Amino acid sequence: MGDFLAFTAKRLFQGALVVLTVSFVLFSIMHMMPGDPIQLIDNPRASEETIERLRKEWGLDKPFLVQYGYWLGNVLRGDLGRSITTGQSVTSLIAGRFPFTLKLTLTALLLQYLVATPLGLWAAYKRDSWFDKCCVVVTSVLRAIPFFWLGILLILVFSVRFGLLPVSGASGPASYILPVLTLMLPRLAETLRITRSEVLEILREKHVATAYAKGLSEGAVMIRHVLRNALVPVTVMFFLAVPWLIGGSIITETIFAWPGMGRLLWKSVSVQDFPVVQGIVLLIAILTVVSTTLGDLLTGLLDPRIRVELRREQA
Amino acid sequence: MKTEAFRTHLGEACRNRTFLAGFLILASVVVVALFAERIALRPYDEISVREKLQPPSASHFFGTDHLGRDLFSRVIHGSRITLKIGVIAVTIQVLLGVTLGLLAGFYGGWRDKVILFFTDATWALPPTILAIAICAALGPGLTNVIIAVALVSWARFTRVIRAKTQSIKNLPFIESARAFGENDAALLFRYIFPNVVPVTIVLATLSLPATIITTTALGFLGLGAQPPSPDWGVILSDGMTYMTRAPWLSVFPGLAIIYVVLGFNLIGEGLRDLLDPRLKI
Repeated sequence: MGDFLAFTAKRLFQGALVVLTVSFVLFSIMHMMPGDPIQLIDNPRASEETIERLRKEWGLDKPFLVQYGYWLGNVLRGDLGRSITTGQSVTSLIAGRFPFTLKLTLTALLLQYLVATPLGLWAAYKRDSWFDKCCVVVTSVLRAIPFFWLGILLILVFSVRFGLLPVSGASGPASYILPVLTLMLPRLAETLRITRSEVLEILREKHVATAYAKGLSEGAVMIRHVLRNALVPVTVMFFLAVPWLIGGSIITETIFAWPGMGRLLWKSVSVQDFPVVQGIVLLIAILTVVSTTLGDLLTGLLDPRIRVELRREQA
Repeated sequence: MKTEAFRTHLGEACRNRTFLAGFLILASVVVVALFAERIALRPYDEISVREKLQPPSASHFFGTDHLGRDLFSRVIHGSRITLKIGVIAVTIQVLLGVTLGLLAGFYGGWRDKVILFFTDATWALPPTILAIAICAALGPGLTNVIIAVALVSWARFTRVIRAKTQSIKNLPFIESARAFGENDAALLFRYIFPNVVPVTIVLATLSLPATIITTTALGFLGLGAQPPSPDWGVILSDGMTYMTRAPWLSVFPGLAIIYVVLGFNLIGEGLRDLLDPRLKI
């Protein structure tokens, strides 16, 4: 267990370093952007002295690195600055939108796994049957569909043609159906393919043959020996999928006018409201690093072979 | 001798149905892009207000948009933009990713650590988000989209090429080349590089679909090509406004994207089977 703790510490340190780098790059971009924050006050009557005083007060006369230090301190206290267009605090803007994104992405993620894992297992078990072939064909078609077009197509069919489901907004459970489908279908194809190939690989391993030779029933072998091993990479992928889902949610939220963080990001980019963009990107970076680190740690915990490899690498 | 070897390879390639299907799809796209003026019925930006929002018909195969522009001609011309962006962005990814991967794998040590750190840092953000952030900083436009997409996806090349280089550099033929007095540069480019070319080709073909989808998505969000450009993402985002009256505006550009993406996916998977079957991507 000792080496697992060392592994954990190392991964956490790496993750923190990556978040710090991202924050530095974001601050540098903001710093290089044309335009002086002072001019944003936009008061022609402000005298030279006032401007000079404000510059001192806000620390804008300090060197770049000192300014970065100030900014980082504010971020750590939860202050991400103010939106250029509305003057609202970025933290409260994000806090208002984040729950909507979370509800949408988590629903999509859970449904995706509940559907894809059993299908992948079944496809591998019944290898080369018509069901397996169907899965392979459907997943390669799904993989080629740009997900934003999938969203448009779903609206065309279910809202415009048949008038069954709401086109946009977040009002009631029915409004979840189309955005969730748009987010989950392409990822579902990916998960199904990976589960299938993972299960196929495990089926070839010796311990499965041993289990059969022991006289265990098909069901017992599949669930106790195959599924349990296949769940390791699948669980890890669950965590690695979080950032992709958040990325996908920007366009999905834009198409369906979903009041989440992704749509806020898109709007802020189109009006060049950089403090908001910065805040959202930083939050996403943190979420990504946390979930990938969790995924890595979980792999180490579930699959001892990886820990052994790690020890060899360090030796 | 060489032609014979080439013929065997060609035969092998033709027997690989995935590769063949992908190749045929792609060849048709390239032909369409090259002869866009001949194939399209009229210029992509010819406005004809009297014929606005016409459904598909014999004179307008794909119908017309809100300015009466012929959608078929726009989609045909759009193939040029898609191929251009895809190829340029992937070329930058390859140059950046392969160079860094070779250096990191060959030298190891602190150089490897530094390069690996930047690779990991790029992976810390979802590509779409990173591309949007870069576009936000640089402003919208086709060139900036190419830069953004190239900057977010080189890391995959670096990782694979680095691992490959590490395994090649300890092989006996490198040892003997060194004994003959070859310097590092020669070892890297004359001995190791030729051995990573197949993987690079496979990776590049497989990375094109994702690149194309991301760039059209950025166009759709209004960050990429600007109207009246017949970029497929731009046409789709225009079409959103007229969804109820002119659904064909939302259907045909999407089908075009799928066709190209499917072509690259098939050709990439076929190439992987032909060149490096053990490669797991």
